Amino acid sequence: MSTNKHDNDTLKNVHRLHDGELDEAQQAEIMEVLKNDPSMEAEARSLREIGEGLRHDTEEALRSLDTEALANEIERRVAEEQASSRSTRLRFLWKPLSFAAAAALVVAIGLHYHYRQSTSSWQPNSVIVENLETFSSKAQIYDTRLDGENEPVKVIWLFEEDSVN
Amino acid sequence: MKARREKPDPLSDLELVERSRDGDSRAFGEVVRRYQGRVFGICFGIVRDREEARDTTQEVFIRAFRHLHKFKGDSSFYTWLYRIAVNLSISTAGKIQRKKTVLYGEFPEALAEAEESDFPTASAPMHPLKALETKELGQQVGTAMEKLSEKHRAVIVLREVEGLSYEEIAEAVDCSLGTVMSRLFHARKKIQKSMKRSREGTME
Repeated sequence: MSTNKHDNDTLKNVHRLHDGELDEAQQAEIMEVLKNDPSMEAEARSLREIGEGLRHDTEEALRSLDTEALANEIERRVAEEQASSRSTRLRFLWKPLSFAAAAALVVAIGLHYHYRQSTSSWQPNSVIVENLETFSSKAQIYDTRLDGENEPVKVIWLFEEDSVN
Repeated sequence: MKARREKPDPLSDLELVERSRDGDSRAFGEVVRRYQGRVFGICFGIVRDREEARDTTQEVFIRAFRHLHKFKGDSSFYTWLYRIAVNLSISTAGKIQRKKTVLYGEFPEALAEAEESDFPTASAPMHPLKALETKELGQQVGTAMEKLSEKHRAVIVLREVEGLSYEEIAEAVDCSLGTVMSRLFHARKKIQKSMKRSREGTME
């Protein structure tokens, strides 16, 4: 039983030696085994054959491959991929952008009407005097744009009846 | 005397990946040219069909390009790329297997003939006798590979063709070191058995 286990461990170490996965001390130990044990030596040879056969098999397949054509094809598809991802990004951006544009339009229209409404009864750079005829009450004089700015400025002077007369 | 123009050092994988992420398509083209042969080797080793392996190779690079942002650089780029190659190849091999089962399910002889005709061989630039031996060896191993499961094929190709360490294979196929060693061991045992049977058959 223990001999079997020992053989099995040795066999696995022959595989690990083939794979370059043993440290120097272990390598030396297994090399010694290979010298003295024909079955293990045959195993190591068989592993080398499998490796060689597999590499040859792959090289044969690779020889029939047109690498330039394949690379060009991949590059073409990558370019398509890039273009489609750019348009996807634009599609993603379109919604928030259109929403923002619509919101800005609504605000602009609102401001426009608000401005028109608040300035419709005003005459820029003019003076309106109300109740001048009666002067029964306090006269009110309005002016706009006294400061020359766009913002309408409302100024109210209050006159005493006597001072106007 | 003319000053010798020195060739600039080739960019590292990581540099190429960075540039590709920034939208430099030429950088990704360089990645493709650097790795397409190796990726094809892995795909072919697992899929066992040249045309399918070629298509799978293409898909590997497209998928890698799409997911470049996911590559964090914790592992080497090629193990990350090989992981995609292994996963896609295993999936392709599964599809081929299912297709074959449907097509040839009732005619196993037809399947054997179809598989044999899949592998035309080219002449190798070596001593004719040695070339013949290697060619035969390649065919024997190739036939034996077809009898393995995709997971067994993956580890043995990564080890024997790509020369990856156990640790790198574990990363590429997403399993433990123990599993890698076990799969490699059993894959080789199966190949040995199959080759032995084939040699005995030839001698009879």
